[in-house]
Amino acid sequence: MQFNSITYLLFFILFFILYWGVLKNSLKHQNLLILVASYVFYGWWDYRFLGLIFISTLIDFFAGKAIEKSSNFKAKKGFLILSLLSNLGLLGFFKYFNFFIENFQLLSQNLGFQTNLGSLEIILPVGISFYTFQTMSYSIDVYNGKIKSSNNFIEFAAYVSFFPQLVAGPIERATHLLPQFQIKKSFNYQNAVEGLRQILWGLFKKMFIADNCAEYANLIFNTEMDYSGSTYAIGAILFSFQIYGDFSGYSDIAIGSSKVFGFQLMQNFKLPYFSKNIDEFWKKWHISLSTWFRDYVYIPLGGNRVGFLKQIRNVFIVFLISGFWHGANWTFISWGFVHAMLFIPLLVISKIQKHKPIELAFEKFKFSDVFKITLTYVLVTLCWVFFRAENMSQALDVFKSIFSKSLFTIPSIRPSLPLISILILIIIEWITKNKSYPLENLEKSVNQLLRYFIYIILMIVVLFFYGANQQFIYFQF
Amino acid sequence: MKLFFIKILILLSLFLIIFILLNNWSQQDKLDKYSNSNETIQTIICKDKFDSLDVLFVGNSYSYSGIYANMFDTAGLKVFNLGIAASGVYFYDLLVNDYLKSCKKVPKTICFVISPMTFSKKSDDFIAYPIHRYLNQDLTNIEITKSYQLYSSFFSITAKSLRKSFQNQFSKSNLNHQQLNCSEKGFIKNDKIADSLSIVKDFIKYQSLKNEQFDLKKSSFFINNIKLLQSKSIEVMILELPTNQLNSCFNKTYLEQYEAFWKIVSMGFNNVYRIPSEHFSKEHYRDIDHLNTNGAIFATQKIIQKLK
Repeated sequence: MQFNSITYLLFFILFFILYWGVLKNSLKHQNLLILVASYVFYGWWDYRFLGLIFISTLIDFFAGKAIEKSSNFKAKKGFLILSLLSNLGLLGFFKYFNFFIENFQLLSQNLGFQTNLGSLEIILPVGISFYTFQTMSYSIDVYNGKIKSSNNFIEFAAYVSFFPQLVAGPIERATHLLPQFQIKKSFNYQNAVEGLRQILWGLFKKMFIADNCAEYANLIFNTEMDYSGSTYAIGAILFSFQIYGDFSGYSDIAIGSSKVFGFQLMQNFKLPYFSKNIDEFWKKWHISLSTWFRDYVYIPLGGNRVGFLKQIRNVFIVFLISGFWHGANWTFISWGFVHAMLFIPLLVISKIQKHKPIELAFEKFKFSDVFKITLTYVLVTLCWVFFRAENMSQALDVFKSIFSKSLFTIPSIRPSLPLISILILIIIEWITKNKSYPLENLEKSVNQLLRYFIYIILMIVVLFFYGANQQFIYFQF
Repeated sequence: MKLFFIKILILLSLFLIIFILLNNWSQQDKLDKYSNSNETIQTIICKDKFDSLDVLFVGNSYSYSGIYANMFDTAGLKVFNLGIAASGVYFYDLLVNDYLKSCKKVPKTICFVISPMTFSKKSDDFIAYPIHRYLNQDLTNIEITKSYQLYSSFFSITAKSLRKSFQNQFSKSNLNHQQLNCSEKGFIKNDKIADSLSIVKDFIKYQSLKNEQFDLKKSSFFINNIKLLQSKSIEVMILELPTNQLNSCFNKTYLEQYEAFWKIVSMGFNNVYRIPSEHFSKEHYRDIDHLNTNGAIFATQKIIQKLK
């Protein structure tokens, strides 16, 4: 079920009526409703994979209890490993099996051995990378004593499958989200209004910005035409805003939907394209994933507390895993690798912002920051070429073209609507940069009439000026 | 919660009012009807210049590329090629009805050009080709949505009208009447010969057709329409032009259902003609699916023979 569909609208209304109308007095029944609704939401795409979520939930629920009850350290660790292996096993099989087989065969051939292992026709279950990471974090947190194991299976299963963030995040930690299933909720007008506003903003980013950019980005990257460097540069810019509008739009809809029902999800994007360096970018882009890697991979490896060479090693490990998490393709691994390469110089000159709140990044803004923001954006956008390309050879062809004289020719594709939409987005986000999303607390700065006018304009843009419907990019991860 | 619902209701009411105003304003999308040089619009206007026809060909781009209307003069047949890009059975329905309502004497025969594309989602594209707005008795977007149950496309169709109305406002002063050229009677010449590179590009363009599902609703709608025309004493012919490598773009199930459709019409109707594609060579096509002028001449000769 896509967020930008009539089906989701009807599902949302029905859920609202049942949640706040019929079952408002019973937390237990509300949680049960969330669980059932989440399974319906997921099953709408492919009911066959509901079993996977259920298995993952079951294993982690019992592993969490076993970890907590075990007094023996080895047993605790054993149950944690069981939880991690089963989640990684599911992920490995469904997402990476064919990649490993293909590359093993290729390597064997290069070494002179003939192997024919074939490949399996495996469908990648939507959102598997998200919910497996979410449940793994639960087991690790129970193991580390950060959270008590859940005693209520319905509550835990609802946490794992919570429909707003099930298929594309934000990847919520049990420490943050699970306790929210234990608090009785009553309808809150302000939360509901904020939630709907954030949904509207998310739809605007997805349907107007991302989908309009996607039409041309696809036109440029999906065909085997030899475009000029300038056309590919436009393609890369369009893709950079497609993926931002698509993914941050999804996150806004997820956060907004949760707010309507009394849940607070973590912010997943904080104006990443206004970052002044790569470190800042990663603190503002897909925050739930980057903090996951920071907490469960980087810090356990020693983080910044080890020697310089080990720090570099840790950075590479995290970025390569992060790239691989996005997809079983060398293009994603290269994307991670290049980001690591861009990150290392900051380590060398100690420009990493240690414990500095990101919100402060906009304070004392200097004009020279425009150069830094532009440079960071250009680097990030060039990296997106790896992310978007079908294979390494296409990525390299695009780079060859971009870094040639043809970069200074007139592009053969000049998409005016997407470029105008990007400009509108940049202006709005810059003006409202101190908010978590532009419509936040709108009643404090704008009178009611103007507020309604803004909502209606956004509704009209979303309904009448949307691009060709594209599936959310992050569903494939 | 009461306040929440009241405010939602107010917002939706305001939106509805603005939507109605916008929808009315979007009727200005057709202001450019007589000043637009677009081939689709020109063909729609040209059709009314041809009355008392022996044969009216109704089809999509395969029709305007593959039926050389002027060649029928030598056979003493008065024809018009009403080939409109992205046409499918709903377009056919609209175009034929519009023609029949405005002509003095109905055509002796209406020949529908059918291809695998006719029953796919790529046909009847009211968003890319809003022909309903340019007919003699134009239909509103709401009417077209209701008539063909295109509810999911309603906002896109209206969005297109809004954008067009907006454009027309800007170019209002330049909307001069165009000189109509109907001398080719709807046929559009193209001498290009397909090369392997363009075929590969077309394959990529048509990738999505592999997942296409044959629209049974459309095929039964079409059959019912033919029966309706026959009940008005109009002879109906169902024609298939060769379409190069188009079939290889569709999946097996789709093609099986397409063949089943031909079986049904062959059993139920007398005048069915599928021009054998084996008689055509690479030189007869301009791309993966369209005939070029050479191919059109060859195909038209065959149609004339059949009509005789």
